[in-house]
Amino acid sequence: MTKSLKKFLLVAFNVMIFFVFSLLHYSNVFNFKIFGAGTTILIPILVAFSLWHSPIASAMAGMLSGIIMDSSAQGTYCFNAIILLIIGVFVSVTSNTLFNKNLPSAIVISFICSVVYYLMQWAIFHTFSEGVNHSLTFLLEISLPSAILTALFIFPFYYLYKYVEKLKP
Amino acid sequence: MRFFFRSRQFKVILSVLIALIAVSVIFSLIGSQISPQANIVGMLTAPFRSAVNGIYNGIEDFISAYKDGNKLMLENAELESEVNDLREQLADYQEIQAENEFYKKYLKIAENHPDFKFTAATLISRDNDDPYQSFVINKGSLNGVSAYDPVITDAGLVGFISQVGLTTAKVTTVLSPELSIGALDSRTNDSGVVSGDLEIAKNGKTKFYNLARSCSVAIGDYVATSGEGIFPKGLLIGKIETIGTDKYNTSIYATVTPFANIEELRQVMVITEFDGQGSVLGKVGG
Repeated sequence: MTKSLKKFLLVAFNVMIFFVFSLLHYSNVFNFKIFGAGTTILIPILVAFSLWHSPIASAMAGMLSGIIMDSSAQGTYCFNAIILLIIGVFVSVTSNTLFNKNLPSAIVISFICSVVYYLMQWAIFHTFSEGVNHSLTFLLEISLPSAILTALFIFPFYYLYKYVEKLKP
Repeated sequence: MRFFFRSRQFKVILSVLIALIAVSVIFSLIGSQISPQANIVGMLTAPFRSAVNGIYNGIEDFISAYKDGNKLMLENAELESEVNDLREQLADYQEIQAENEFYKKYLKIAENHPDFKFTAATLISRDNDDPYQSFVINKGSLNGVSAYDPVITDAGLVGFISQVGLTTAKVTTVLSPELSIGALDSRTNDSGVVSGDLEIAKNGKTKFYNLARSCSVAIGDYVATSGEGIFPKGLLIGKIETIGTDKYNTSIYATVTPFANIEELRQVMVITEFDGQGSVLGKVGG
């Protein structure tokens, strides 16, 4: 296999992963919930991807998958595009300068990113619209459990991207 | 890290980020319109989303058809192949019959409300992060759908169009607190407001509140729209399940189970025109 073909196949693989999971996230197929806590599967995928990619590639991946999410998510205009772009850049920059690229680092970063995503979502869309009591219920019963559940999905994607990294020409 | 902040890469990313924030602010001020980039992507991905949902529904139908037919297959092992052929034919027939039933039921609504104009739409994606079960349909402004159009099934009211794109639209359901509907108890004519509540939305219920203490609503009564606001009069919303008093003991509320099974929805109708539409636009709900 030539170097350029291998490179093309890897790019196609990454596009497929993001595209397929962006679509599945908003279908009944991926309605995975435990006691009301859901998952935003694209966060661990983006974290795992950004560990081994440049800030600009991570920003692009985050922004494009965020736009696909925004086209289905209720009440968001560019929220997912903005927050996933920031997460992509944050993970890419910190993994190159502050963290080692290993599983414990990936878990910590995934947890931080998930918590930030759900806290921002809660702060922007739920704090003012639902009153104090309900917004607190939303935070404790939905947002924080969802953040923890989402962070756990880093395991398969960390190993997937670690394997893909080895295939790079 | 500081080298990154001085790099050209960072400047490009920052410019894109500022552009996204600007678009976000502008469109949140305009309201009820899907942002342009999400609109384009939504248009391009709509066929894929329809396909994903179609495959999922197909698998679900196949599994339930298989479960239903399993007993018969055991009893008639020698006729297995014949049964399979017949089942396939039956599945096709049931699909056509269900489709006919779907349109027949709407025909009844259309006969009762000659001023209504409908557009049939299929659900193409669900916002699984939204506890109020909002979803996206495959019809948009190109099909005559506009913001605040009511969305119904043959069973009753589902919600309204909260954001509209060219070929897709987002639907906010009756379970959401974003929606306030002027409503009546159809037996006693007691009036109140139907709006969602996080606690009961988890169980697929909504709230009928602001009812006078002297009202005579009862469990089992039907609740319908009163015609004030963005919804036409007489659309069934749901059935009263429980009745209680608010925490200040000043008014009565009831929990209502919507007639439309929002969790299982596949097809809906958008009422694109009705008498009196547009008279109260500018505010959400009624």
